[in-house]
Amino acid sequence: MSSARVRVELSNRAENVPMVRQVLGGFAAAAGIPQADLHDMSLALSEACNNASLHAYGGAEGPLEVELHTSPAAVFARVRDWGVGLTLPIDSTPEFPADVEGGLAGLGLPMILGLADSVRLSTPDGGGTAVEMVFPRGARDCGQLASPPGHTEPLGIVPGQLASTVALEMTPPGVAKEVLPRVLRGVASRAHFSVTRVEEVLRIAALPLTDAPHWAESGRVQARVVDDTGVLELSIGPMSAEDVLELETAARRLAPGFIGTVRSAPATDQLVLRLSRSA
Amino acid sequence: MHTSTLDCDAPHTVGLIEASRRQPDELFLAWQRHGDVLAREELMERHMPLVRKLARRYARSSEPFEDLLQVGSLGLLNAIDRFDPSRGRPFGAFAVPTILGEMRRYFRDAGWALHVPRAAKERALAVRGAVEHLQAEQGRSPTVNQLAQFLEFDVEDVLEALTAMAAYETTSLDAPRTTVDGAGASYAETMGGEDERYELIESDVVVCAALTHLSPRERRILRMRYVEDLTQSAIAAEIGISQMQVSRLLRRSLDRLRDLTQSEFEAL
Repeated sequence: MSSARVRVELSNRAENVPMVRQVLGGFAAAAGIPQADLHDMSLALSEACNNASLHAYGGAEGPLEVELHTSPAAVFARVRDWGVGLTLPIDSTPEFPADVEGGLAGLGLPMILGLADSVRLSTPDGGGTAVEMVFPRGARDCGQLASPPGHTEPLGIVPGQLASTVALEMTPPGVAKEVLPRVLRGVASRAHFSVTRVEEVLRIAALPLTDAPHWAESGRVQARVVDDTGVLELSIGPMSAEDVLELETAARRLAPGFIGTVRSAPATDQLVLRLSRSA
Repeated sequence: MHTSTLDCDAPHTVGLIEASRRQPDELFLAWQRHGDVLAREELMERHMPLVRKLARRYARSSEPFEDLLQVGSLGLLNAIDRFDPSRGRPFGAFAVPTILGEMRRYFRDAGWALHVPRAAKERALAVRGAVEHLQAEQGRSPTVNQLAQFLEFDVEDVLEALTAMAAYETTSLDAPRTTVDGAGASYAETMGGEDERYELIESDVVVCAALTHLSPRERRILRMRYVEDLTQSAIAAEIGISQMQVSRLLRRSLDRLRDLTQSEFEAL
């Protein structure tokens, strides 16, 4: 896979750091990142997310965005928040954490520096902090920081649902096939779904990723998982209205017992499934 | 603070008690400029908790931990040799990338291939067994939290195992499933193992309740000794009391725990 990408937006609360690791695990499986590399990336990413969790919003809750993408030579990771920001020379590449006044000065940044090939801290447009990390693929030394991918409209977390939402954007659909099940498994487990129920949820969620729809030329899959007190709401798109209908029917057929709550949103290009914890 | 002269000819009988009053900067100078081995030893001792902390974070399972601790201390030695205190930067921040570098090299050369896939496979097997056991016991499918609690695994390890199992199921969907009578014997075997484990958990529960009768410091010391597996001297260094005191506190805490749990265990 020449270029794979995932962008996830979620709350900075501490319990979401494992969720970010789930996203990374799925991304690594799709992009063919070796386990030993994944291990190092996972540690570095966790440290960056922990920092955002503890310090970005002065102890309060706020959005956290993690973006991963690959080039033939490197894996690029960016952890971004919209919080209080770091007091540091803009766009610096710190040699030692003492260069940084702020939360990263603990064990976190030294670890990131020890694990990633190169690291950059910056204050992006719109404020907050961005930690960018580059990891070489295989033995190759990629040396330089790849330029960050151009995006970015927010993925659209409904105000008031920040704590319970994981919003994702994944390219190509092969990435979604690996990432989405892991996120669903994580969210459903947190919502106390039984393992049997989780597997049912996953079978249903697999439908749009295997048969229909024919993803738009962009190959970009957007998904949103919301834990709504015991009901898991999965929105996935963009897709045609016909695909929405077809998939909704297929989902009902697959799990007639517990999906009484499938609801499509014909006004949008998203299939919306509400999956309850119990029958 | 006490300032000692950096006399390289100082008799080695000075010992650690004397040496421990020295400032880190002095210790670095004493070792790097004057070859004072005691100073290096003390720097090593002071920073071993850092190596331990990093090894624990780096090792995803307990197996490569001891090895990582060893290669990590090599990294620490290296950093002690090269650190320049006159630059006014904290040693820890300088040492961490060096120590991690050693661990990564080792882990990639030996640790990963040897230990990690096996640990993951064992966890997957344990999770599979626990799902069956809990399902049979409570008459419904367990949640991930219940599995994690039952197995004393991280929730993430359980999720990883379930992901691995799902991938396996998908690829081997057409393979013949074990029949009911064929599964009988192995299931019974699993049950035996799980029951033992369950007893362990039960005794844990009793001890946990008793632990609340100890002071936070006593709990902390117990934890450091038996969960984190630190030596008495390492605990003494971290808490800032003597090794003798640690020894006394440990013995007293254990005696109290024994008294507190005796009746409970007899009732089991």
